[in-house]
Amino acid sequence: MSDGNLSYPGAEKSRRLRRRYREEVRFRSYGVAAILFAITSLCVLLISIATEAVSAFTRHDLSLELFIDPGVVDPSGERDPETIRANVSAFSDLIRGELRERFPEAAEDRDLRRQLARMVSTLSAEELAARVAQSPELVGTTIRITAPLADRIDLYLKGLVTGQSVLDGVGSVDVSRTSEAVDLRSQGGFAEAYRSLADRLAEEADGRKQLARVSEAAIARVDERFEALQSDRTELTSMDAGSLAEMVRQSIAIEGQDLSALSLAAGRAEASGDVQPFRTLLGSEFTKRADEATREADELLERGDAFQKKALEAEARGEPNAETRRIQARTAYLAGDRRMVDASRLEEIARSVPNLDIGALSAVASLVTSRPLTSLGRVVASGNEEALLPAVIEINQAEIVAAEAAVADQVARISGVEARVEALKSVSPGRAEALADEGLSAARSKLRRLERDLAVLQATRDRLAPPVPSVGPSVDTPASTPAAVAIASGSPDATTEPAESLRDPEEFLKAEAEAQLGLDLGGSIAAAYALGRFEGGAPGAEADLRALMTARLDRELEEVRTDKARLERKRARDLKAATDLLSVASNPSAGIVLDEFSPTVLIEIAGGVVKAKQVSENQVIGQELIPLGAAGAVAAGSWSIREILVPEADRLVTDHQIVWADQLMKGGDIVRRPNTSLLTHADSTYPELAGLAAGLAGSFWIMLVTLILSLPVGVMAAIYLEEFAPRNWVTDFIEVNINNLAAVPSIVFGLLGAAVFINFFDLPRSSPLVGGLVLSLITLPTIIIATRAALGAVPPSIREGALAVGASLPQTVFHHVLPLAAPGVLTGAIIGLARALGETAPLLLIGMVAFVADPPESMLDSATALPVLVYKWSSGAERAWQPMTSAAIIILLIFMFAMNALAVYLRRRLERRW
Amino acid sequence: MASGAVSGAGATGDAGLKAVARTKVRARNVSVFYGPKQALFDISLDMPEKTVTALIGPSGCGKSTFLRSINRMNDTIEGCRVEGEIDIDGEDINDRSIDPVLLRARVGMVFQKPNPFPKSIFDNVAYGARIHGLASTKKEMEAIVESSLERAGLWNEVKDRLNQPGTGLSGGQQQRLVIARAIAVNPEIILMDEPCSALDPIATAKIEELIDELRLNYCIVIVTHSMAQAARVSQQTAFFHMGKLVETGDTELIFTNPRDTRTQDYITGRFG
Repeated sequence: MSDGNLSYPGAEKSRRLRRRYREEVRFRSYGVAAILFAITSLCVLLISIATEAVSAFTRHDLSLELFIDPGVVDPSGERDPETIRANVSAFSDLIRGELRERFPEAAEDRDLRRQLARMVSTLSAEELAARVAQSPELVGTTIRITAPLADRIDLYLKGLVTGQSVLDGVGSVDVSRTSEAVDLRSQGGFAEAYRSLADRLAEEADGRKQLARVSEAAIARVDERFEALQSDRTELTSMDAGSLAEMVRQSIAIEGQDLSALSLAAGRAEASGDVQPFRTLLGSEFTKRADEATREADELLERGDAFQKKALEAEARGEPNAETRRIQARTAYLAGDRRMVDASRLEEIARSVPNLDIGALSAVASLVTSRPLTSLGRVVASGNEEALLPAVIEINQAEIVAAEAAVADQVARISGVEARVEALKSVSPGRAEALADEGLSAARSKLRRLERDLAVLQATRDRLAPPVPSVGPSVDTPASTPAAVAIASGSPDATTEPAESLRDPEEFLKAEAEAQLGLDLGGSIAAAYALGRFEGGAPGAEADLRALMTARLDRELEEVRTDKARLERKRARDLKAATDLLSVASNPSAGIVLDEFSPTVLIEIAGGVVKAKQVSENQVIGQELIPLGAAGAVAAGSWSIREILVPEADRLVTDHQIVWADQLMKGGDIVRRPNTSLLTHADSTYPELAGLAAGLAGSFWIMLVTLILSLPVGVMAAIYLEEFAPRNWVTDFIEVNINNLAAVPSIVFGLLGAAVFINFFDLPRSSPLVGGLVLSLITLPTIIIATRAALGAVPPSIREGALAVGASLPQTVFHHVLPLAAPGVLTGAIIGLARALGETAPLLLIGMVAFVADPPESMLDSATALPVLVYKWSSGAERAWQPMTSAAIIILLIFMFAMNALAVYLRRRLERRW
Repeated sequence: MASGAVSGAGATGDAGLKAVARTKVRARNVSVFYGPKQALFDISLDMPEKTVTALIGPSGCGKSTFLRSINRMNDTIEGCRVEGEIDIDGEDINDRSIDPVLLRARVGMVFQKPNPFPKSIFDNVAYGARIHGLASTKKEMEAIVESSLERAGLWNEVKDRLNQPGTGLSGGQQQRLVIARAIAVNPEIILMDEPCSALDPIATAKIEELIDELRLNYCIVIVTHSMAQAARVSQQTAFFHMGKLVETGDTELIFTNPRDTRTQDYITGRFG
């Protein structure tokens, strides 16, 4: 056969050969492409993280020559280190003084002085004070200090606050000064800056137009709704009674037991005289409420017991939180006891309901709805002036009935509380005292409030009472309506504030209508009541109902109208703004006026810096930020112009600070140094103060727990399965499930940890112990699988050799197999731990995301972990969190790589021994 | 029974040897199964003291399986079952009272491929003695190691590098090291599973020489594929074929005058 293949004719042979080569090249290129893809992705990832992180690894410090003035820092001349250390403000003054010397223009203005002082971090004075206190001989000498810059300035210098575009100055500039401003003129020299500003204005105008279009769409929708409501309202007047009732029913959506159902029943009862359904409903409502109150009271009291128990335990152990627990217990008891009183009162009412007549029932119902059930329908329907006063009187009377019921109820409650206090005295004097102290006084003050309300209503009634025109009309009241006369002639002592507001029955009615018509609970209660009256066949009820619905629709229409007006105003505003912006942008000679919402334009010229206030192609009018030298002509190329893209109002660094920082940078007074606080500080809510110390310590403890737990357990399990266990379906099942376990998403382990370790075993939440336990569960399968693979890779001849000289199975395993497998076991363990080090999700679930201000000192303290910090920081709102997050990722990666390198090293090292 | 002739032949061989030495290992009706598959059928064979017994036969005929049943190495194979009776000095090794670990100390074994432990030469030899507690002092241990290496003919070659890894020796040296390791625990029987098949002729010659010397003290059972080797080192030869013991007897007799045609065919290289 092979001879036959080799005896192909020459051309055929070389063709086959070429094809084979091509195939080889193709497969090789697939492999190379795959590897290149992987490497490229990895590089892109690492580079993007690293470039972002770089800025967090350094920080900017101000380097100053400073004369430590004895008169300032140590006026007493005693050179006492403690005094010097405490005198931080003096050192702060020194640093500020030095800065002010450099930028004399800031000395004049209080605001500028503050801006200048805020360039350095408050830390710097403390550091300096500490340094001088340590070696007092420095007082009176000139030393070089490095003061950390404030974080915002630091961010600005790292280019993270704003982008800038720098243009070289084209053409010469004539500089002239007026008292207020600097005037720069150049033929076309500012054209480019002008164009950039104009483009921005045009963009903004586009944005405003877009907004106007959005408003337009919204207006169209509002119009549709308006028309729909309007047509409903038109239909309403011609609708027959049945469909009207149906419409009301739909609009209030009465459901089984709710308050609308109650007022519906009340209306029916009043109109038809059949009180029983109303009674039943009301009775069951109160029974339900009483039951609810009893259950709540029980819960609260139980919670009080639990807190009390914890307080006692804490006290026995001498823990400091005993007092807190006691207060919690007291609060819970108090609430529970009060609820208990509520429950008995509610039960009492429920018991009394079957014996009440319709009037009393309505009063009791008003305790539930906290308003009288009166329908406004009749009032609004009548619409005429004569009917107004009787209607107001009617409502007022209903309100008085309701208020009287409330007062009576509160009185009953107070006696309930007193009874409860008496009863508690023998059981728990502490609770009795608390209830007497707080419960009783609260109940009494509520009673006073209710009585005041009642008094106000009664005063109103007196004023509304049919006129006794013995007193003449007052001057300020137009005596056009009888009601107005009645009110004006009201009792002179009714000077309380609410009564004062009831000058006009119309106003009273309006307030009541507001309360009942609002498309809220009150509105549907009134509507249901009216519906009930209609169904009960009360005279005039249909007209009431119609009027009520009309009023409700009117109210909705009014709201829609307001909406539309608002939207129209907004659209007009946007359109006008767009037009204005465009007109400015299209007129190059006029110049664009810059405010704090525009990008800042800075011109460096004649040794100073000018901030532009108005820019046109040929002229800039501006303000000196750093004073210029002499006025006159400045040659082309010796000046520059730049645009700070983020407007001053949108950044935390002011224009002055930018200019000063640039100046200091240029003078070499600012140095960039490694940011050590990243490793030494714990977490903080301020990015510049935050560090990874707590996360590092937390991760260390977690890894320790994980290692201690998972390595021995995992290795032992693997040895048993690989060397000792019989092969049968049980071990097969275990093996399959270990593999499954390795594939379970880690968040599931987190849930398990929260349920088992925290809830069941009551281990401290967010402690490294729980974290380590959960992560052990995650690493165990990895370690078992790796160990089994390593054990399986030991050649059988070694086992046979050992067995053949009479070694027992355990001796064979521990003397020969395990040592040979050790490199593989360790590699597996370290890779498992490295995976655990990077786990985030399960730690979040066991509460390790909590803010931890101090590094944990044991495995029971609250802690956080590196990956959790990465997760937290990445969701930080401030810009400075981004580099911090990347820096944390880099540090996490360094630890992971270190662990993997350790795994490789150990493997090499241990293998070399054999 | 088809095996009637075989047992008869065996008995004849026994009779011939009994005059020389007493039987050390006696196998009676040994059958071995790997799961459902039977690998050995009713093997009965006596292996006398101070004698080298060679087991020959084509590949897969069950020589190694038989060898491994003598020190119960088959126990370590999942699903392997041994029936019949194997006695050492009249004691049934498959009896419940026998500890396989102690048995293996009495019955040393050398494998086809040298398998020294990845430890020093000293530790290799000392390991067995150490786990069985044969030496109480360091001196005693050194004496055991020296005498074992001496008897394995390796002492002179390695005495200066006892601390170097055993895996660093040449193949023949490794095999002699393994033999030293086996005899360090004072076994009574040494099983050898093709001990020279991975070695060059010079190393083979040395091992054969060694076997010849060891014969003076031990009962040796050796599996070999080399007819010449069997003829050279053994006094008794057993020919296995397809899991059955075809013929056994004095080595000289077997090689000069085999009774069975299969034996003759095998010896003369007509099959296998």
